[in-house]
Amino acid sequence: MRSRTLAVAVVITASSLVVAGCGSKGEAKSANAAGSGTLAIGASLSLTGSLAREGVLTQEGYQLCQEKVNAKGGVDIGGTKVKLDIQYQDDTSKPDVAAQLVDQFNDKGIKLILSSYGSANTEAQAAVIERNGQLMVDSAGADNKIFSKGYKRTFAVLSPATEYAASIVKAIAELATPKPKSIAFLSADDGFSKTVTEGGMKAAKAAGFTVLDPQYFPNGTSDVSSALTKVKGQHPDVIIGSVHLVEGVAIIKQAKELGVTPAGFGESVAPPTPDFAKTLGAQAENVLGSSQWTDATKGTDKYFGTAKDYAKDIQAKYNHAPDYHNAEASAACLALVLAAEKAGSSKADAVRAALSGLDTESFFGTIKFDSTGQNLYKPMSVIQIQNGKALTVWPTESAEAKMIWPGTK
Amino acid sequence: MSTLTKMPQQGLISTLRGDRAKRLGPWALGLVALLAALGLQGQLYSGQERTVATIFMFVALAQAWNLIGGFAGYASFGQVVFFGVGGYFTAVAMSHWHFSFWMSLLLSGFVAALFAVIIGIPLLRLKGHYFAIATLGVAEGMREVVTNLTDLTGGGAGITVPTVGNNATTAYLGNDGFYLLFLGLAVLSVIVGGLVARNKFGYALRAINQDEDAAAALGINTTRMKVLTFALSGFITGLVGASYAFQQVTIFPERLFDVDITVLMIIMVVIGGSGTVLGPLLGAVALQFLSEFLRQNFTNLHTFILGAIIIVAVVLLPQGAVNYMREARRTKEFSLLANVRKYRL
Repeated sequence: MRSRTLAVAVVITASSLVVAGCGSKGEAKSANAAGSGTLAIGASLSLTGSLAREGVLTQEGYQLCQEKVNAKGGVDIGGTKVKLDIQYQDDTSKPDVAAQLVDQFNDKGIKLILSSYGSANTEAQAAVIERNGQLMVDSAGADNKIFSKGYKRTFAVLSPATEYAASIVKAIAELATPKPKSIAFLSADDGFSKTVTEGGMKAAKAAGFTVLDPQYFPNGTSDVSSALTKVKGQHPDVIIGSVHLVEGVAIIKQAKELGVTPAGFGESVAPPTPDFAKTLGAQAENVLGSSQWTDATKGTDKYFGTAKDYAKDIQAKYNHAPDYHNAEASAACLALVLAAEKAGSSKADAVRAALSGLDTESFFGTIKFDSTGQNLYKPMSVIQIQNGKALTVWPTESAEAKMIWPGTK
Repeated sequence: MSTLTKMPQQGLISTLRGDRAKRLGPWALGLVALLAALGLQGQLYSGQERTVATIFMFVALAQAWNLIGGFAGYASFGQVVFFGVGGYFTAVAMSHWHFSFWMSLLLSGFVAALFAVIIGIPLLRLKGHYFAIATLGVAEGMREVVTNLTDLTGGGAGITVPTVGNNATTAYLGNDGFYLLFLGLAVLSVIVGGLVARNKFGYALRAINQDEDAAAALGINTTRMKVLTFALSGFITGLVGASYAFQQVTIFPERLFDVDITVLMIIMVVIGGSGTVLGPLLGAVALQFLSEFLRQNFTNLHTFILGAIIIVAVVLLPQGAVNYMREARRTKEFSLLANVRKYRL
């Protein structure tokens, strides 16, 4: 009998749902209605999972931006100041969840989005943004692939992946004496790193270097010895790694063990992070690296001031030295705020139009977008580890130190 | 497990009418649930549809795992390999060979099933931990294979299913379409589970689960049964992977062969009640709903809270919610502490 009662209950509940379902479909709300006094922005972040560390740095960057903007009264939209209200959700470092969160923000009527961390997450989000007619400013998805699909609603403040190794090549071509002749690229096999390598090889050929065949190893590996062994016999003058921290540390350590001694090492991503010099100690000396931002970057804006001011603010608020992940997140938020002010509207289409015409200086350098939505107008900085510190050596106008060459003794 | 083997005896002593009600009741309930799910769709925002579609996806995945892990008792820790194989087959077929999605979907199921047969024949000879580790190894290995077949799969950079322009063979289904697609897969998986549970095939699997040598002595061709089950389980998982690949548009090996997905399937089945049809369904709905709720409301602590809840659930209900309810109703012993004592001490 009990099961029959249960069945009846279920039938009634279900039928009422079916009947209710015949009504009109729920329409998405509008979050930024006039007079609400806030500008709501959605941010899906990798707060847990494999990208948690970078996810937290990104959140710090967004949060500092919100505080700085609100401290000045908020975002000036058509003469009315509204408070910036960034809503965070955790995407657990998974692209499918990051994409789902964009849809959920859309349900709440939040059309303006700040991106998650990493190219895979950003790429998944960009597809949804486009379908929903939302607008996203990308703080950390550098892979050029995202911008080759004709998307019109994703804008990246950071330099594209093709610039990471290319900027190291350019710095060496300009500053290294005696000028080296050959370059070998060692690369992790994820999409981002491969694009970095392609960009670097192209720049190296253009600058007249002999470019050896690139060697690939699995993303995240701590054993790069077979790649090093292969290039050892070819005696390259420079080895450039398109890597993350783990592979970057492995290249320097294992090159020493295997007796691979080019005139200099360069690596994307790894050397600017404080852990690189800390882990390698003296072995890290004179390694070149590329960075989206350093505190020597030229430029100023009304909310953050200069790069040096920004560095101080991060240090004061979060008690650690600023990381470029902080800066690119703050810059993405800044771009969205400046575009909304310029448009005098919080509507996605109006802000999109303003973003595509944005051309401004900031603590992050120039923020300006080409027709695909990439920021090609800001040079990347090249740093060199000198006495345990990452010092900017290129571009020369913002250099803090002279490049030491040859880097290996 | 002991209650399950008593079910046919109970059926024998029931009246004919009661027996029919017992047989058809669950199907009727299922039909009502399906109508409710269809009705619910009209009430949801587009993004909510996607969230609920993910719940349906996990219902299908949990049901598929339950066939091999629950009924047959072979805990496959590499189940995600079928998800990945199905997903990658669809992505490759649609982008390189210009197959329609529906053709790719069907073929993905068969490719995953074939893969299950190929790895099942050697691996299903292993038992317990050895089988678990071996399947885990297959999934990890397959991820590396897919990562290194760069020309075909795009490697670590991922592969994009064409959904716009001239290369798009099937129009993108949108959140409405994927809701229905994943609902369909969930329904299919529950029907398969229901048929297996009530059929000679299912009893053979339970016999293998309880004592494989005894089952063989009864004349059950255990190897064939196990391989068939693994293939069926792989087929459904492959279909789900294929649908997921189309939904995501761009897929990456890390996610398509992510061990987290296997772990979720297992937790859902274990919490719901392994070896039952209702268990994986309830487990998947409850866990996915809970994790979504926690993520939206406790941005920084949600994984911690979810983990704690799972631990408590497994300690209190080691046999799963559905099996606990069945035993409790039969023995009139509802105390959770008694339950813990029974299974732990």
